Amino acid sequence: MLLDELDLINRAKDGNKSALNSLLKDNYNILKGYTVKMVGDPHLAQDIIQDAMLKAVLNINKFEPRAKFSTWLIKIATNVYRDYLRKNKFVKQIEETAIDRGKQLEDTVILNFEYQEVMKIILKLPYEKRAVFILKHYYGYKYEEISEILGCPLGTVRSRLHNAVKYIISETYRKEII
Amino acid sequence: MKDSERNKNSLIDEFYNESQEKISPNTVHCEADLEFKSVLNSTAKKMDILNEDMFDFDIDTLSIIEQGECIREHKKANIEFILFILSSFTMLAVYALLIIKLGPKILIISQIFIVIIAPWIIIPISFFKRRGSEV
Repeated sequence: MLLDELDLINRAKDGNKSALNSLLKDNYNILKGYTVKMVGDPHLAQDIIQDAMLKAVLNINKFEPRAKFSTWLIKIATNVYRDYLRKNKFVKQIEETAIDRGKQLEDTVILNFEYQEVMKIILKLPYEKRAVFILKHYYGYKYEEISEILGCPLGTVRSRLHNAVKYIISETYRKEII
Repeated sequence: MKDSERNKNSLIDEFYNESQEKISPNTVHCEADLEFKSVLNSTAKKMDILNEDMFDFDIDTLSIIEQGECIREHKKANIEFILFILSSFTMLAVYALLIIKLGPKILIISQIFIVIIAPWIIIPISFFKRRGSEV
């Protein structure tokens, strides 16, 4: 862990608001990326990010800096999303049009289409497998770290990743995305 | 588990640098393995499209911190209130028990203690405590 981050954590635990704000801002992008991929619906993702950050603020004193702060935030976001899924068993996915960031119209349309298709494949995975795949593929977490984040055995993480990857390959073939 | 499935699993582990057994770069893979490897590579590349930051969120971290502080204060006030109610109830119950056991004399003795002796203990303690916090 970076010394800067450790210093910020210690100051945030002492009640320094500016340190806590820096911590949240520094780790915002990774939390946002993970949550958007996990949830698929930007509105819901925003709510989950806000809830996760609020829980982090409330429980900052319980955080032990053995792992990175971002890992802890991801763990909280995963739990918030799991609770949401338990409460709302029938979730309807909202199709959101992406924002044009200065790209040509054609590029934006293609990018949007591919983005939606890939997102649909990911969202068809059960959330446990989805979480394992996202943490491994996009963030390069080790199996041990993923098992720590999701609270499941290492063998389960391994087999979930194998199943997720095989499913994704079969779906990309079926949809002729490749 | 079939051999082909086992091979696929170990290729996935290898792709993500999580291989259990050390694989030499000179290891000869069969044609099916090589094909799966190339599919794995191209699928992984395709999946990277999700790394594009497509959405703008409006999240104010400072207001979340303020909200957190408010909730924490509210919780603290609730706990203090419950503790106050519990401690006062316990004190009154003890008082009532002592009066029943030892008679109403204990009420007069305790009143004398509270009025005359307690200030001599509480005032110096609070004075030193305040001085300590100022330093």
